[in-house]
Amino acid sequence: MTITLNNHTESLPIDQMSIMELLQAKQFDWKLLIVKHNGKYIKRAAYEATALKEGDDIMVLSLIAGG
Amino acid sequence: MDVNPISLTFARGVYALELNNMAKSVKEQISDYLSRFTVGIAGCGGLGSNAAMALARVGVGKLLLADFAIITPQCLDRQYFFADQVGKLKVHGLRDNIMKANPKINVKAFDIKLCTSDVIELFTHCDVVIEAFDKAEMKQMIIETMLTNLPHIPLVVGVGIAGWGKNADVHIRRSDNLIICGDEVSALSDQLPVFAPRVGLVAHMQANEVMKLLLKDFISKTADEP
Repeated sequence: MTITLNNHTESLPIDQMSIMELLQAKQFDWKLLIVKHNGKYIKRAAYEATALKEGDDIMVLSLIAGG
Repeated sequence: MDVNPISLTFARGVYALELNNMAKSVKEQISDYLSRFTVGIAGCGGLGSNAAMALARVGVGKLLLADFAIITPQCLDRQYFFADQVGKLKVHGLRDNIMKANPKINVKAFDIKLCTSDVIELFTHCDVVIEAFDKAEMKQMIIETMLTNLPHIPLVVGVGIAGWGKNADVHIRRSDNLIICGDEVSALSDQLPVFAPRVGLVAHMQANEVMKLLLKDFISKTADEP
């Protein structure tokens, strides 16, 4: 399955993957994240239930302190 | 000092011509144009105070400032405040400083620790909002709130500002109306504090992005046009 992750094309070795699994595989380790799936904001509670499909566009932002 | 009388006469002529045209410079036109807009500033620390001052100087008409903190001596090494303002609310100190730089700006100061409902109420009529909180939890709250409730309003966030140097790591990333400025990795910590140059860099990047968003339909008029 090929998706776009933060504007880069990513080829994933498996065809079934949730957003949660993608975040773990790509080591988004920060506690606080913003995730958009095809432009739609995804709440943390929905990471596991949201399945990726071919051609999806995922935006992940790790929130870190400082301002 | 020797002054070439011919060039002096020429310079006077050009100046008189400009006065006759009464044409506004591009800078004046931009300032006039920006005066119609409202920008929300969520947090008035290193990012917010510096971004707000830059937007005031270019003439953004109305600035909504939100912060609950008081100016302490520790703020002065990177935030747009002065030693004689210690003890004041940041929103009041910043409003005073903005008025000194550009008295034409309409500044609304809100002494408030923003929550979801405040964000919606306060920023609903803004043209753009700047996220300038220090805590990651607050950044998440405003991004989530804006994306969910006010997705039509561009939100310019600052993420990854701590430390020094690494100018080239600071970047801009866009995802529809969410615009991210910073290096996205340099988190504030005891070992990596925030310093004036790098937080100023990102604050001005945010302000510059706001200016670009507000000027997307701006067309300058030359002196020849009616």
